[in-house]
Amino acid sequence: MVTVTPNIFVMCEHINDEDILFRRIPPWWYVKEEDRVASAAFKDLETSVYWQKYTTPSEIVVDYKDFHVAALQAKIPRQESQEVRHDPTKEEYAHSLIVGKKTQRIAKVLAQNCTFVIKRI
Amino acid sequence: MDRVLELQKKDSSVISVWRDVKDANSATLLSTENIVVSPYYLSGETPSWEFLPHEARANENINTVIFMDSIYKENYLFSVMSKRELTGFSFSKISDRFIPETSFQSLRGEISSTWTENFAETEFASKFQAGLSRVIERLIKFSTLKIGWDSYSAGPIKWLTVSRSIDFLSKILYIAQRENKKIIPIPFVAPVNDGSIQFEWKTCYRELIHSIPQNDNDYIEYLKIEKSSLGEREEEGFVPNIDNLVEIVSHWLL
Repeated sequence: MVTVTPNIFVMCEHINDEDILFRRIPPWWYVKEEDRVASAAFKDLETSVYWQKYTTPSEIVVDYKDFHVAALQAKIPRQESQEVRHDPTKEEYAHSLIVGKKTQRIAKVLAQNCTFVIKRI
Repeated sequence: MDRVLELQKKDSSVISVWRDVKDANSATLLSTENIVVSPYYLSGETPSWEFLPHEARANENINTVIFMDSIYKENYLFSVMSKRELTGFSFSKISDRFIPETSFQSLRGEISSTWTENFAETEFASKFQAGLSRVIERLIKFSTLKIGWDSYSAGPIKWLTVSRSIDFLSKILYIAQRENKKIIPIPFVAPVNDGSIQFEWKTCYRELIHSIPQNDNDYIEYLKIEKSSLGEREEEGFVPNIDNLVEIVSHWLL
């Protein structure tokens, strides 16, 4: 008996500039005194985010009870020469990436332009 | 090193001041101990007397700062004590410590100030140290973070990185106190998923963002921001080590 495993090709969709991206924010990245996201949240080369088109804030923190969720419009990182692309995974179709070297200035811009959609008390 | 004098307080406890014998006209505080009497040097003489507090003006309600005026014949000693520790003193031939020329020396080196500035320095340093203690407690907690603490792929924060961050803060505090700075911001610190620690400093018109990297040899990136009525002016740069970073913080923010 021969088992054939089909190659599953996942189509990556284009994210529009106006589309919203969600980022999970651990408690360490929340500046309570100023009620904002710390720039440390956007320092990695490939920053994982979730596309609003295919998920909700509650869904992305269902397993992270003390995490906040911040929202960011896709055009903001693109204005800072970052690539924003859909990167679906087996577990999460909404998964996307903000790709590019993030200087302190760029990280600050991205953090500044976030708004909280879920904030834990 | 020679023991210069003793101060016998009203509660019978004693503090002593040591002096470098090479300089007969100044007294540099090198240590304090509760030891019994020793002679006092002034102009090369070696009298057998000791200073006793002429009057202690205790402002116990305000951070337990105590001003003590001690006198022997025509020699005066003005002392500033905070929480039972000598923090500043001044030898003088003039009985009035309120005059601007009265120069106080501190435990951390020589400074010139009036007695009121000594009071402000003591209170202010205490407040800054309290705020800094909370930052240090937070930094120590970073070392307990496990892999994936950010819900993605973050690595742990090494203890060495935390230790270097604390050492960095200590240097800032030392400079601030040495230069008698009145405004010292408390930074916000956060772990970064690459193992570094991010610092964000803010004053009314200036900001500074930088990291302490995981690797000692890595360059340190910083961002300076200045706000004015014309908008924000930014400057990005790199420094090779923490000592250079300390200079940037002290010049930009203190």
